[in-house]
Amino acid sequence: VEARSLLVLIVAMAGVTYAIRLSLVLFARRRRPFPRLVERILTEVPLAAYTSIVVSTVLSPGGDIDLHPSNLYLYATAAAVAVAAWTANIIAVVTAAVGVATALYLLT
Amino acid sequence: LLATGPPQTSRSPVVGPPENPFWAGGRESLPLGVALIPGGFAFGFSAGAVGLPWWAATLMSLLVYSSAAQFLGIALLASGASSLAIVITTIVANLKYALFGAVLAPQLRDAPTRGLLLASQGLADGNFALAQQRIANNPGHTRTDRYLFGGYLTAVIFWVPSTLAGVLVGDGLPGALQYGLAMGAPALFIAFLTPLMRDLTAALVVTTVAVVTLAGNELLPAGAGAILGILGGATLGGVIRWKRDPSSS
Repeated sequence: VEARSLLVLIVAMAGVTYAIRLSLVLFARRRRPFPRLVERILTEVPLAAYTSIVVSTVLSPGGDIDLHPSNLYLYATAAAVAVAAWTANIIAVVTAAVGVATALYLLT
Repeated sequence: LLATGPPQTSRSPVVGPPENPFWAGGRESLPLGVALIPGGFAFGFSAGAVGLPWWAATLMSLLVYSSAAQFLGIALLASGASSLAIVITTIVANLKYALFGAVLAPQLRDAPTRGLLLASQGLADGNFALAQQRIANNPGHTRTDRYLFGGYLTAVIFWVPSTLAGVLVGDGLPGALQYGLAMGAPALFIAFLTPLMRDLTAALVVTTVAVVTLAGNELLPAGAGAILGILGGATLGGVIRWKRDPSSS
């Protein structure tokens, strides 16, 4: 790809992303609170968003759904959940998951 | 279902004026930054593998600052997709940030517009998760906009150089480590997700998101599965909690 058109593409990607992020300003300037039902739904957004990030990598690592026991990320996920239930230290959780995935890859 | 760990508060035992949220955001994002290194490295490596020059990958990490959109973007570039298709995919993959904006809105009423314009650039998954955690742990918090922007600056200090490192030396990493490091980003969000798994409704939300996201990944254009999964799971969970107790907020 030509450098110039690549630069234009990156700026366009950043521009549309920033435009979406500006919803922050829009919502923060809203005077009225959201209806209670909407508030309840928004309360569930963090859990839903974190889940969607996790499942794509863990359950479809190569792009296809892989729930077979040979998918080592399943064990790394179990390790991460176990550590996260015990400590809120995110470095510990990440280290455990990466460690288990790497070690199992070497062993199998 | 699962016990939550000790709260990760930022409160210092020293009595004095409260810390500027900008510095709190910068400091509390240090573990996030470290956790982003594998992802940045993996992105740089993938970008280099599809022929993206080092400056383009690095600039993308700095400006777009969205792991999902960046990975989808280079995958589409490699497949020869048009720029328009890539920009549309970027929009779809990042629509969730509009939801994040709505979630954080009540905490941002005290922020001036200039602060919000800066904070918006930091509205990515990890920074959003940290801001949520701060709000939960510090009921009296103020100026979440500063917290978000401080967090963005810390995160890019790790995210951008690790991208560059991935382009330059990615291929030199052993296969086992490449495989293991790909678990870094999901693990980060498992750390934020686990304390929220507190009841059956939460388990139902997680299951719904997983099923819809995976089905969407298989059947729909790239990026659509995630936003539909988030909307579907959050709506289901929200409606269940609202039906159980419609009055309280």
